[in-house]
Amino acid sequence: MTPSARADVMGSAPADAAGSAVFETVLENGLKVLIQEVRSAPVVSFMVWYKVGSRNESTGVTGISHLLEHMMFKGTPKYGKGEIARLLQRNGASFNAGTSLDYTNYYEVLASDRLELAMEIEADRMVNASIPEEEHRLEMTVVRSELERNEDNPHRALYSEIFAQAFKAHPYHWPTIGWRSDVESIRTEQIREHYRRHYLPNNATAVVVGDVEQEAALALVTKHFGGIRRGPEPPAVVTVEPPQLGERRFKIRKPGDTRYLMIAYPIPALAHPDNYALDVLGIVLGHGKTSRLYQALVEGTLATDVEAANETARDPFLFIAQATAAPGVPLDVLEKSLLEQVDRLKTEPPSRVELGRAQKQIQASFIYSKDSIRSLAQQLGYYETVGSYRYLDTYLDRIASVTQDDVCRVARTYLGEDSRTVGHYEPLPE
Amino acid sequence: MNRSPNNNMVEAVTARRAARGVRPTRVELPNGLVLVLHENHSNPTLAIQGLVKAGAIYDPSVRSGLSSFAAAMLDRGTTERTAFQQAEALEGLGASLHFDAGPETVMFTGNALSEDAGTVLGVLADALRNPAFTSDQIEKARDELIVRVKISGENTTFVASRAANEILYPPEHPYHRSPIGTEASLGTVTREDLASFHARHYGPNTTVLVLAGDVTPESAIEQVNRFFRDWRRLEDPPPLSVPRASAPDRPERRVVRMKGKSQVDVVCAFPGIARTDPDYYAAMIMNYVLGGGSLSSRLMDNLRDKQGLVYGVYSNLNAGIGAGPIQIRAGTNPANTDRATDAILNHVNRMHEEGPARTELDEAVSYLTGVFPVRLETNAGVAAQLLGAELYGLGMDYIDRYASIIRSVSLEDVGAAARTYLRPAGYALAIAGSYPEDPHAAGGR
Repeated sequence: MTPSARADVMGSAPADAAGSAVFETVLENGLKVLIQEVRSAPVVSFMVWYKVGSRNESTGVTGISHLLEHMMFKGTPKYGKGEIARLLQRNGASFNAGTSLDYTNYYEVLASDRLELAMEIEADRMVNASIPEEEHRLEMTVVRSELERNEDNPHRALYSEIFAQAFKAHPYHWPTIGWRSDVESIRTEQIREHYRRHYLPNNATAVVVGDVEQEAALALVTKHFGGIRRGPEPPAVVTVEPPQLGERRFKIRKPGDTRYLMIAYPIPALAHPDNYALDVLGIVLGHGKTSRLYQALVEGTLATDVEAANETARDPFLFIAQATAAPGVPLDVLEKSLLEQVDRLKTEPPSRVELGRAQKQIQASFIYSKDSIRSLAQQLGYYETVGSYRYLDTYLDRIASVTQDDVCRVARTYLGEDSRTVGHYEPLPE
Repeated sequence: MNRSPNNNMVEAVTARRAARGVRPTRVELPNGLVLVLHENHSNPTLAIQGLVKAGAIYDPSVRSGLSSFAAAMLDRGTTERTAFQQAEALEGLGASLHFDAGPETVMFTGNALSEDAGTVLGVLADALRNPAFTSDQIEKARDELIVRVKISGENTTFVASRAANEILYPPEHPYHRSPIGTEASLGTVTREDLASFHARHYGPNTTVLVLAGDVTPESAIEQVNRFFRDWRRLEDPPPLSVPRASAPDRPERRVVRMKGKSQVDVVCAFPGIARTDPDYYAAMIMNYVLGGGSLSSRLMDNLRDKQGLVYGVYSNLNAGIGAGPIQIRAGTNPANTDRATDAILNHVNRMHEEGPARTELDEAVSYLTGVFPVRLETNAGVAAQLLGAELYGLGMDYIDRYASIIRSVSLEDVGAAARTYLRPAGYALAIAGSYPEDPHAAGGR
């Protein structure tokens, strides 16, 4: 869904019965290392997270982080083209990579006695990726195809446009995949430069979670990554989005059959304490069938699907509410009804039952996430990259202390008419 | 002999599982409901999965989508709880239950904290047994299902796949129709249709329930008995079987032009294989080598890495109770459609004639046996394997036998599967999107 999808927010695990405490250290070259022993299956997850995403781009080279991620599978002097994938497959690994607003990550999940292979590969491609020009040229068709697939998806089109409208100055303005013309004109040398500037031990976090002894895991990380040289700190992102001074509104018109509505409100950066109440507000308003929006819009036969969520990121991001219109329902009718529900929460706090239910859903999702070492590693890596993994230590307590009035207060503070962006996906008749 | 380095690892993994005493328990209630249970106490949670043999194959030909309509009513109120009370009971515990109608069965999946297992099983039993089919909820579900049909109809992947099935299977065959129905067929479904479909197909002897996680056999059996024991057995449930479709004797191509799309989806399809067919594992390995989801499959290597034509190209076996279609799917820029299609057909030909190379078989075996424990990493992953094992009669020792089954497949077996199931003489080819012959469509935008 969105770059900072629900999964990032909903659930992680501080240390407890399901695993050891998280061990944290920083190698001399600046690589942050997080290790958690979890012995629920003979499997281990290894991830490397780089603090680089579309946030670290500028006009002209938007999409370069994503393009670089693709090129990281094209080999190094040690591993020829295609060999990284082939080697991991031969060893029964589940693996992939992802690029988002704030990060690029690479992961392997594999039998715990194969951990060193994953580390060898990731350490090697932290510094030795070949990025050949000919491979870049070939990969462009693949990336174009991904761009086109996004264009054909109404939800993606709406997200892309709502980011473009809600952010005028900050790099969250463009989609992670980049503007098409930028992606088309990026030169191989620019990709290499982006790689050298951002893929540094001092700009990365290595995460090991699973069936592994902490000392052994640390020894392996040190063996493979310890010799990599620290680099100059990558340039900081200095742009701050100026406050929005009035409602913004747009329409997307494409052939199709289904109407969609999306409304976004700016919210503060992840680290801001109001996000706990905003997370709860998202659930009360529009997550699940007991939510306000489901009861009013879906049970009220105006929509067939609704969702609201507080989408946090490293820098201030968005609270997003959305709905799919029921057949024949005009978008302005749907919008009016959705906004009524938003406004109600500004004056009338959620009931104690609603609040408790939202808190319980967040707590339970934390516990479920511990079923999977991959999701545990994902959360440690994500939060360390956008702030600190320690955020998870106190998250549940902070959620538990959110009051009915807090929810009401953040609704009033953030879900204002003048700061919202309203998008209508209004199909053209075919 | 396959000497891949993975063998020892898989054996070690299997031995450790056994050492922890994790063996599934299978119980059949007197009314025929099958319960499969996997104990794992490392986290206080429970994965709930299961199925009812009430999928789209039972849809009357003029009521396609009836099965998915009936499944959509399960969480829209029962004789015991309103729709809101059903949702409240689950969400108040942070639990979840979802029902999803497929071509052959209705699957359900859920999550509960183990302390809430009893309550969630109660909600599940009520949903399966007592849907109320109130008229206002029927109309809401109808709207939702029709919107889903419309959204799918705007999706090039879905449209190409549906067109391929329409070519491959004759109109009277259940796979010819889409399980989600059509706007017209959904429009005619009545309360009576839904209630009688439910009465005919939903019963304990058509239901399988799998629980994986923090639960003991004693308490699970007690809870399941409490909520399901007095569910009346269906007298005469229809057999779960799908007729075989004959292979087409020539290639047939269909283009569906869709406006305003940047991409074209190509689907090349062959009549496939049932999950219970003795050739299944050979076909599965053949499919893996050809395009079964890996980054280094023949199709990915050629179409994506060498030619740069597609973002993804995948082949799927879709082996179920019936022989679902073997589908090769690719999404491409309209200008590259013909090149991508030719490349797919070339690889089909080559696989048909030559089968895989020895090294390809070894790498496939190495991957499949190695990644299996990774897939079992979560309770939901274990539950999915056990549900399949029960549905297809693979035995409760299937998880332990998996690696040796895969290793016993020979190069000859896989070559034979390629000759049998990938026949270039007859296939369906469907193309959906802004295909360039359309004057309104340019290459992308």
